[in-house]
Amino acid sequence: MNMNLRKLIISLSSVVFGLLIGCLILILSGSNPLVLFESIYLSTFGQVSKFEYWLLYATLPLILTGLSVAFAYRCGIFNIGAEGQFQISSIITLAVAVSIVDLPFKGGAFIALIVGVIVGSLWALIPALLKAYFNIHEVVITIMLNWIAFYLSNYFIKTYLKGEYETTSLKISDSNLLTLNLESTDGFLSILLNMIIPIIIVLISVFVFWFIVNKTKFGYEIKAVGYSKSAAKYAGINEKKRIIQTMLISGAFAGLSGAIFTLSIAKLSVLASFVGYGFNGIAVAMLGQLNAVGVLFSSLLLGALSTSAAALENNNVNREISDIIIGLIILFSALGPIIYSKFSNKKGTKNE
Amino acid sequence: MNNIILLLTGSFLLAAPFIAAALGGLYSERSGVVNIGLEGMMTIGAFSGTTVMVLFDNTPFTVTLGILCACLAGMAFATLHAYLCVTLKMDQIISGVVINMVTLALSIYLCKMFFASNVTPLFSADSIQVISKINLVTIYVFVLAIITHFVINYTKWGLRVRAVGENPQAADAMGINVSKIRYQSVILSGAFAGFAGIILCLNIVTKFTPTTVSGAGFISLAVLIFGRHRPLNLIFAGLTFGFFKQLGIISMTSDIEFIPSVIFDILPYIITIIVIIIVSRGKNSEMESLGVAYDKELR
Repeated sequence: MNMNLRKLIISLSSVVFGLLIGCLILILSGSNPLVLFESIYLSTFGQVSKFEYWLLYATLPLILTGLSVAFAYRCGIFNIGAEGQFQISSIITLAVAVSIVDLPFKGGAFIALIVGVIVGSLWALIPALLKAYFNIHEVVITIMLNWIAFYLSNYFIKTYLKGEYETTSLKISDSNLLTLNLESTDGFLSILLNMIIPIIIVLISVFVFWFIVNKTKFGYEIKAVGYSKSAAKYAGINEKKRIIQTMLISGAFAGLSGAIFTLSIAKLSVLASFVGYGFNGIAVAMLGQLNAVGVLFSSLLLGALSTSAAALENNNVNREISDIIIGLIILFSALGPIIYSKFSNKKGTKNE
Repeated sequence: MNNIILLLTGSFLLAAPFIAAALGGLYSERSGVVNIGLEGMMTIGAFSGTTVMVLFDNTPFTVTLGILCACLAGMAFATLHAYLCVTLKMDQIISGVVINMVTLALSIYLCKMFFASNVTPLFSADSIQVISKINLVTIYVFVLAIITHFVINYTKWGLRVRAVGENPQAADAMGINVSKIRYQSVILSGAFAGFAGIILCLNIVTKFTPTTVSGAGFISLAVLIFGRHRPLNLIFAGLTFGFFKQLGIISMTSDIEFIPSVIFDILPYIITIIVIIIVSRGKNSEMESLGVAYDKELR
């Protein structure tokens, strides 16, 4: 069967099974499962403000962390650290954006954005160097770095970047935001226009991901390293260098995510636990089968699921159901290829 | 002086859950299965244990029941982890990530369902048997570490666990059932993680909240690496981490404010990274098949 069709079937059935089990849990706990779908609708197309929240705060950053995880995974690296790279980039972007003078043509926002990307990239460089030269598995290191980023970020919000209240940071001035703040005509179109810069940046990122992975020698080489490190080495690929470059790019995606998020939402709050863009990035990378366009559509869907939490709570359904479903969707999309190949192997042996 | 006593007792109380979960991780990882899901197994353990203790409060067997239930809950998800990683050969990291995500959400979901709040009610502190400020479960943990030392190093089963983790092909050739040993080890690790989860509630707060665990499972992974996967070293490693954590807590309330508390928050993680770098220079042959699913056909 066609590879892409197979991937699409696996992704779609993962979503269906995830939602089905979610509904089952809702029924077992005495809630109406239809509320889930109603909430998803209400928090996406139901209202203009919800639409903005869904696209700008839930989906766009998620696409970028998804690309980050997927890019690293193509090279056989598991970037659990997207969360930390997102976090550290957010806080540094904020620091730059609140301290920089207002420049014309969103100059301040773009400077902050570039700094954020570099910071995310450098945060990812630590596990990359350790993996390439000390052969240390990236997972443990990135988990540790996530927590360091988490505590540092909270600390900076509480001290140097403290705003009006104890738990929120200073606010970025409107001219240093990426969003346009146009005269609102209260329609979906004006909302889209308002966030046109983040949307364009994200679409360019999706294209860049696709182009690097599918159209360049570099992309071919990192995939080779991902399949087999030693085989790639014997084929003359400098696998250490590729690992480091891959992580730098992966970190840049996560950093861009944090920067765009911060430069749209204007201020950050002290967190009780991780925001989750990095972890949900794992979900969309898996669901999108590590494919740029797949990540884009998966993010729209999982972004809708995670923003529906508030609407669910309003309907007396516990919001955690959305996280449970997201977890199940990762599980099924990772299991899909395994089950598929088992199934087709059995068929193959029968034919012999 | 008071502060020093507080620091020492606090270190022991805080170290206990780290050591218990790290012991769990030790069984799993020595058998060759990475267990990132410790955090999640602790969460579900903490929640189910606390729930049972709230329901059967003020009875002579409250704590026992709570611990038992926590272990069982941890084991349930560990069984899932073993099934996904050993039988289906799924990526062990992804399995762990899923378990962490689902257990936390599920615990809060169920908590809201049972208690109409994301926090369980307090169970009475009388249920905890206190021996001079370090309660009994903390002592259990140290005993368990010593027992684990003997089990892993001096029993036939322990030898099998090590063999399966080191060289599953050779172990299989000697007639050891690789899958069976890995299942047993992973499920045992779930029991330890569940136990660690309920210790968090017993030693620190007498209830379950969404942030009860928040990161303790990952610190336990760090303890495991810091202790170089040796049971007795884990005691030392866990105490070090407990010490820093307690130092951070005390620094927030007392007069050593000139050191920002964030230093104590991030220090354990920085130390872990440094230790991993140091440890990695010596080749660790006994953990060679860690994270790799065993495929008989590739022998």
